[in-house]
Amino acid sequence: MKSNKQKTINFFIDQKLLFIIILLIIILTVKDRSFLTLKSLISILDHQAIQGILAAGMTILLISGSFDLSVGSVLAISGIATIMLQKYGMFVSVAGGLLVGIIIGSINGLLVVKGKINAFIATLGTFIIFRGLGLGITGGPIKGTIENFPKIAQGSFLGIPNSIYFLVIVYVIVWYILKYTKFGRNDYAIGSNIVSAKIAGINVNLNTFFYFVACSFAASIAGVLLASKVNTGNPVFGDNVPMLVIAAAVLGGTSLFGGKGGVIGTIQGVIILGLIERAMVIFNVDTNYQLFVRGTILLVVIITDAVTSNRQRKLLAIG
Amino acid sequence: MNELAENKKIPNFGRGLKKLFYNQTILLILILFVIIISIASPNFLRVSNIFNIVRQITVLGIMACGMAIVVIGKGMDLSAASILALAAVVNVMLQQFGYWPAAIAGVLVGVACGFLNGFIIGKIKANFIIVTLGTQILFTSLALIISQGRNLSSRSEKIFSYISDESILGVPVIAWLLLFIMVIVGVTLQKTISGRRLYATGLNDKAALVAGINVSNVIMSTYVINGLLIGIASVVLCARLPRIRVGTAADYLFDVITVVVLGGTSLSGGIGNIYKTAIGLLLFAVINNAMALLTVPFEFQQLTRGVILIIAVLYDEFNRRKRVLY
Repeated sequence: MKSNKQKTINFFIDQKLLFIIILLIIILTVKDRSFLTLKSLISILDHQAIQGILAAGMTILLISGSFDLSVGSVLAISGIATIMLQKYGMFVSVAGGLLVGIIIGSINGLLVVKGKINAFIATLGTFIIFRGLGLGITGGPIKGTIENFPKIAQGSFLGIPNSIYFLVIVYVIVWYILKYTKFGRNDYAIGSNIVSAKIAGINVNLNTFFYFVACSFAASIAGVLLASKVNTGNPVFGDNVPMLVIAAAVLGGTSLFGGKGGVIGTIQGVIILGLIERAMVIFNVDTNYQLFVRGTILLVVIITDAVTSNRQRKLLAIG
Repeated sequence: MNELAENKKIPNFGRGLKKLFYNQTILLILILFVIIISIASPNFLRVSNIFNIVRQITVLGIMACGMAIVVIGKGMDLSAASILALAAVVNVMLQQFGYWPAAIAGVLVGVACGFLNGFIIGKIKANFIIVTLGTQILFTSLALIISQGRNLSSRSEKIFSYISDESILGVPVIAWLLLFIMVIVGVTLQKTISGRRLYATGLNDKAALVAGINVSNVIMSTYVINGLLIGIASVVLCARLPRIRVGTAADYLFDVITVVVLGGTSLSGGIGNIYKTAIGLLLFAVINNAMALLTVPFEFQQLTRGVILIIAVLYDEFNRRKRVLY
């Protein structure tokens, strides 16, 4: 009997994000009757697809205990590369955009692993460098020329926008990697305790390097999608992106202290943020106040994460 | 044995030179740059240009002092520029009640913002990068809400032109102010118990805790002092620039971090001082001024700053061990 009760409580605690989502949907439906349609739910997912793909990559990195502030630049510059390479054909341009992500990820990874620089300062540096590089190359927004290119993100299949398919594919792949591969299990091991991971024979440096590459690669997929969506490469894309992406991942239960979390939580976090954005539109919140709300959400999420992690660390020390 | 002992007493010229290189690299680079630039552009070494540089770097210099304190305590404040913007906006909005209330309110806003950062980082022990990333958004949005996104104009009062234009003994008032703040912060760091506690905390917080230092209070106070200095910087900013826009203040963030890192303050905490931060500030200002004199396009100025930051960080990491040895 008691165990049943405990089970129910645990179920509610585990699925708290799901209940927040349902609560938000109820509130929005009460305010705006036309909200609860398949169409508007799909449009929210479509709107959040780019952020969601970024958050999936960031989740991999956060689990290993580091993070990447340069995703905003990767988003912008891979879009620029895709647009600029369009004279060589669509395939080359998309491949080029993705390659840019891999290259920046490798630079980040090398700076952190070989240069032994703090992850945040290395990625802050690359963020500034590539932002400047993007501005230097383009001098402003540039338009795409290939006719079919915008269809990558704007087109739809069976009534569902393509970007949602990309979102789902990325999440399934990352979920599988984190759950069933050695690469993914090492991620959790490194994040929980880097010293024991080393002693257990994990090549921490090599793995961390590839986590950075994976994060940037996801960011470049998002960058190509964004470029296709607006058919533009713009060096100033992605200004607030790192903070929104980190907020989504941490809201989804991925700890900033590493070793904990997963993409199933992250997608719920992304959806919650999307619902809140939509709510602010429906409730007619001023743009500046929207920024305020986002900042407050991020802070509350961080503080909650820190408090729970502190409690767990204390419990471990006593037990 | 005896020979060895005697050898030790003899001042080793080579070793002394090495020590000089490791300790004063940044000064040597500064001198080198000054020589190169004054050859490339004859306008550079004019007194008016030099005072111009000094006027431009005062806000940055005051903020760099605060950031150096935070970084020595193994932290980082990504919200520094946002605090500056918020304090400046509050300052300008309150100027209708007179100069002093406005200036004091601006400084208090800085302290309050610093306290919020410090409390979450020091007491709740959340990751400082993410926290200041969040408060950055928070403070920026507050500044935008208060100013309603408009450009604000500072009132033209005598005290503003006094701070920004007048000179004492041929040196601008603003430079005296910067020097005064740097000396106070520098002496506090080097010669007081609190300063030594800060270095101990930055080098090894666990050891500091065991040695009886209240680590969370030390960390918290670094952010509060940082907020105070940013508040003072905002007063100078309002005096210097007649028009305040929230967006323009944001540029200060990367500049401040670059200056602090150029000044040899280690991002892994516990190493660095204000004297070197001042040299880093001068080097940064000289490079910027040279790029302006040689009319480098804006985008490449930004790129150059990013590259400087990365090189400075890499240099710091590769030389950390050597510097401890010498």
